[in-house]
Amino acid sequence: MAEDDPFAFDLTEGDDDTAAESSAYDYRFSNAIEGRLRKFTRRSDFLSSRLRLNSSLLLDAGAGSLYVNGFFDYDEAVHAYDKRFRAYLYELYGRINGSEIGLSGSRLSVGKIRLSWGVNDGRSTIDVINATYMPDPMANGRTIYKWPAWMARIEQSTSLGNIEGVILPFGKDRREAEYGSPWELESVHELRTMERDGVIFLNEHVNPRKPEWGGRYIKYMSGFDFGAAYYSGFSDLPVVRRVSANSFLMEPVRSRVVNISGAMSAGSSTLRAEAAYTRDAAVYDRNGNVYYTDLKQVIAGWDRNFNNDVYANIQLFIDHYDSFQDDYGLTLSLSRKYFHDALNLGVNAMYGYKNEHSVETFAEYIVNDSLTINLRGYWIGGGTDSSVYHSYERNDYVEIGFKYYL
Amino acid sequence: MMKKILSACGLLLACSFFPAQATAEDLTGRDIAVMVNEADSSKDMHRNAVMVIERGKQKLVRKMEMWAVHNGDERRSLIRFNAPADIQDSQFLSWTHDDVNREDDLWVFFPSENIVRRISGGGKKSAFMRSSFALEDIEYRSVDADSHEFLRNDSVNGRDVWVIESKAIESKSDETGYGRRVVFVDKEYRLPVKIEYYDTHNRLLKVMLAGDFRNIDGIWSAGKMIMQDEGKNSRTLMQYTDVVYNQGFDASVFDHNNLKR
Repeated sequence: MAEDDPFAFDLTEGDDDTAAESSAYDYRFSNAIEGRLRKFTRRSDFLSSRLRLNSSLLLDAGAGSLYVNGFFDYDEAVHAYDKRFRAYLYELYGRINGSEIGLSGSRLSVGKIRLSWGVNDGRSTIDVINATYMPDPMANGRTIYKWPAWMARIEQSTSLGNIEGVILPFGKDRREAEYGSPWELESVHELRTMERDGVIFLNEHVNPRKPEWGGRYIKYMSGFDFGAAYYSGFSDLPVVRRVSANSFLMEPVRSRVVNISGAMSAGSSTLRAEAAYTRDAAVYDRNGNVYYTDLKQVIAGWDRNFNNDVYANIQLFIDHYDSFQDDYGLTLSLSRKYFHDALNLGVNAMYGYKNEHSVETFAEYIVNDSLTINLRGYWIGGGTDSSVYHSYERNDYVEIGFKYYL
Repeated sequence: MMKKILSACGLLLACSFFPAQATAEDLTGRDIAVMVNEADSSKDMHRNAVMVIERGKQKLVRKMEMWAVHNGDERRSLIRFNAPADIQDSQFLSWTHDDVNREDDLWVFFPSENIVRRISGGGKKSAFMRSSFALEDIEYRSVDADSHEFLRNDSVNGRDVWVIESKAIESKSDETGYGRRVVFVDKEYRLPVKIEYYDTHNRLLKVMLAGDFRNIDGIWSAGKMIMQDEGKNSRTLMQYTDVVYNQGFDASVFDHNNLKR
């Protein structure tokens, strides 16, 4: 009979891989090995040959949970300017669910957390809680890599919307690129070189360890999401100021940003928009002296799935400074999946009007549930002499990589 | 009054509250679609699911946990992925409305960024976790999002069925990847035992079979499903476990703030 019965299967017994599990994990330990080989296209050497063990542990006790995620890296290619071996604590946080202790709809999280606000995904005006990870800043062709920070986050759901507040008692956790790193900003490299040559004194005070805080309100509605946020923190990149004739201080400055955002579905498309006002954003004049001006930003985005396997995402942005040159451009993501979504081919890109650009083409192939391999090409550059993109213009690379879940 | 139809495995959530088998032979397609929708009398549901995708010699395993609640003219559902590792803790939250003039709402939680992001309802047309199912196959669909035509009485595996054809109305055609669905509704369970999916060029894309029907807390439910891709050496098996209804769980399960690792 079993031969005739198409339902004579039991996915919950026999093979451990197909055994049904309880939904609430008491304990989960996960490991993955990641490898990447990045070869410069404009230089003879390698940008990275990193092998990473990525481990995470989740403990769930019902009323609360604890999560920790860390890396162990070995990268031979960075030996000229950085350590080959490194261990990182990426995330470590505990969470208490208020509903378990009579506070329905509330939640408290404390620890080292990666937290992203905003509705746009290529570029956001309010993704300012975590610092850019400067030793390896490009997550892909249109987004930057952020580093978690120690914080306390409290959330409360109400009938009028969701409210949350965050406080970072020590501010962002900034990680600067090492001297000589391909990701070291040109201007910083020059200062560091002069400091090493004894020409100037440079104080790199990139983590002032002062509190940052913010709050967000977001209302999820049928057809439309609306959000408003405020954040008072220190700038992502440190600002270089001349303290005396031959003494410089490299330190982030406090900035305050107010943001509103909205996202709505329209058929197969999603429309997203953000607007933000930053008071006293730091900019440099032609002589390299820092001054402050208000910044107004608008981002409008559209993304859509075509024919189930093609995804397109375009965002237009404009940064308007009251007394500085405006910046505007777009981010783009276009991809198509093949072979039952096993192969994903695409491009991620950012283009600014000063020819600032980063373009990533990629092919990701999911071999099975444990193994994914990828090929990438990455081009970056353009911009004015002082721009970040200009600093990275010799960093074009091609990559072959993999991720294997143990 | 009764406006919703459950599609594919959404249909298999449903239960029967009709004590007697309908005998009227003048049932319309919509009558049957409404009947299927009526079968789901539960206020809420929770279950675990194991999905095995068989593609040639390759076998891919997905494990997930599902919640659903029916509140007035709105149904909310949450799917949380427990395996494989690369999508672990990702979550889909959807609101589906009886009113066909309102678009469905869908949000995704990405654990790596700790962010909840709205995506378009059109995303439901894509393959569900690389399986033969689409997300729209496992989400609820308003009865009036489709026109329903009664085709015939028939039998599947010796069981009497009604056969209806469902086509998306014009304003909803952009939200489905199918040109039409032929649904074989078991006359006792009031649930589909088979669904044929056709594209807009009337080519058969895939066939879903439902089985292992069980009466749980007075509600008929299918415990297993098979989605077979037409003309391809590929099929997906789905099995539900720990199915419970009407537990009255905390509504905060569907709170966006609850979408967490």
